[in-house]
Amino acid sequence: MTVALSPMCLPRARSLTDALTAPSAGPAPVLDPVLRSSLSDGLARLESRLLAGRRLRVDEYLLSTAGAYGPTAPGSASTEPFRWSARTARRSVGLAAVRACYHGIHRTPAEAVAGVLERLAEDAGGSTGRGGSLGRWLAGLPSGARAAVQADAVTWATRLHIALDWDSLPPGTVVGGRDEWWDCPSARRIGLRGRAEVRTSTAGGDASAAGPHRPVLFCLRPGVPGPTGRTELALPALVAALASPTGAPPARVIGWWPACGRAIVLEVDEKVLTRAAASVVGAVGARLGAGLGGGARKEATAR
Amino acid sequence: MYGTEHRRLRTAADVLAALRGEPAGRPQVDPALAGGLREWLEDELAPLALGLPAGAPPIAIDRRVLTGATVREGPACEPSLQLSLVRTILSRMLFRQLVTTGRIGHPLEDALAGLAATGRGEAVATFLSTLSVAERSQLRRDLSDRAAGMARHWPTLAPTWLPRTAEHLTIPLAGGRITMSGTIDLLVGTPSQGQASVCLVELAATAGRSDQWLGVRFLALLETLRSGAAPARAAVFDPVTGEVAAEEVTEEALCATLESVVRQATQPARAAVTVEPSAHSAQRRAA
Repeated sequence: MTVALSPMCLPRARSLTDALTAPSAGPAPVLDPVLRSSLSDGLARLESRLLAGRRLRVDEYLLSTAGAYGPTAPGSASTEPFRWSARTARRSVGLAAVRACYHGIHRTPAEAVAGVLERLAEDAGGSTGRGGSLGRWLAGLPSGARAAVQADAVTWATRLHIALDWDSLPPGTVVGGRDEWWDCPSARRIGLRGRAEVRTSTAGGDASAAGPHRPVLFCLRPGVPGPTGRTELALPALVAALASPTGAPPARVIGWWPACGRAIVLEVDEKVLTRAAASVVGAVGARLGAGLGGGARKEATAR
Repeated sequence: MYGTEHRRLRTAADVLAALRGEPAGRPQVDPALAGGLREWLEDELAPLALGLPAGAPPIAIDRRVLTGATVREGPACEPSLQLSLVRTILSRMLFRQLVTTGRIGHPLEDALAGLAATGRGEAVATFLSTLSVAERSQLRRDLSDRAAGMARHWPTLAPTWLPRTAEHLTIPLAGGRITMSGTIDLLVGTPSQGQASVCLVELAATAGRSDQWLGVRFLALLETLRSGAAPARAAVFDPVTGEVAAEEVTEEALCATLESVVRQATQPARAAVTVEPSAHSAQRRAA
């Protein structure tokens, strides 16, 4: 079930935090083993279209663009090679900065971003700096470029910093944290990535422990929610369920689009997971040129 | 108009006072205002989206609609690069740098490096390569003057003001078939807790441009729609003269701006913003 938060509720951070941590209704769903195996089978059939040596990462970007652009090249699944830029660096730097604010190391995003960049520069100069690392890239930039990276990161971090009422989040809340991955067991070259900016739990719980209080995710999204907005939010829930030994997904995922001030609350249930799995197969098929229609997608994830 | 106060800056405190206004006098936020403005826009602009083919890109409306650009299907066309626009783009990079780091080293080099880091420098670099030595020298002097003016007049903002630069706003209307968008050079202030609390700042493109405030009020309208709370203040900072003009953002100003947007966007096509197809992609990368 999805709900759009009213933009008239102010302060916005309070309403977003309340929606994020509200007690979950109903029992926690468990990922159906049949859905897991049918998703694996669907991806395994498509893997043969990948050129030798190529891998495909299924993330929110692929879900949002696969239908729009179709295959990049037959079987190549290639996109632009990754390069550091102000845009690609701002999330890493911004998350570290917001984490520092959450833990009381800095008061504001601007101070925290400056601190993060300083630490990265120190690391790059020492033995911990790896070739291709963010620190090494930053160390090689002229001052104007470093300033642009810093400015972009401050704006990004401030958007996240003012989105939530941090003092009201339960203990164990994680800002950033590692992306969750699920490598399809029968299609080892296709991996699903679930990414969220904040991982916490429903009110009164402890996000780091199992129990009656279920995990919830908060995702900061660029631009405006498009036709695949809900599917993009469902992906980290699906990956969490696939990667979990118990198959338990988070209770909900909240997507926040600060550029337009819109929020979507996605309550995760079996239908959401089933649709997300179908969308994954459909997007992979579109990217690899399989041209799967709606019927074929259903078959690929038939239960 | 709308009580705009123009001040010749003497000290950093003058700028801060212009941005802050009178905190005690800031209006309470009426949450229904933003909702009402959105409904008004939906009602008036929805007919534009009628007949838009399925799958077509949304109709894009930006501030240029207020200065005569024709609204049409598809993404907003960027204006052709010319020296004045390049100077504005590079000046904005320098302003970001100053606000964020507090210093500017070599203006032209810093601005170009900053633009390149954001992935939008290619078109500007190409354009600069077509300039004569004299034109390039003039651009370097202009940027140096602007950088010196910024450094002399612009105060260091307390981090607790949460300064964020190049804040991009996009407001979808008519189910996403129309978008209104713009970029605020600098936004300061914490989100509203009941009182109007943020101030948006625009770097003056060219001294004395009469249409600058139309754009600023357009951005104030977008910020109101985005956040649900009207900004407390809007300001234009001219780095050359050191003048700051500031005004309270009133309901009257927001409604007048909305009416202008609707009037301009819905009237039959007039002089369109013409962009050569070959230049289009380059401009989008640059601006």
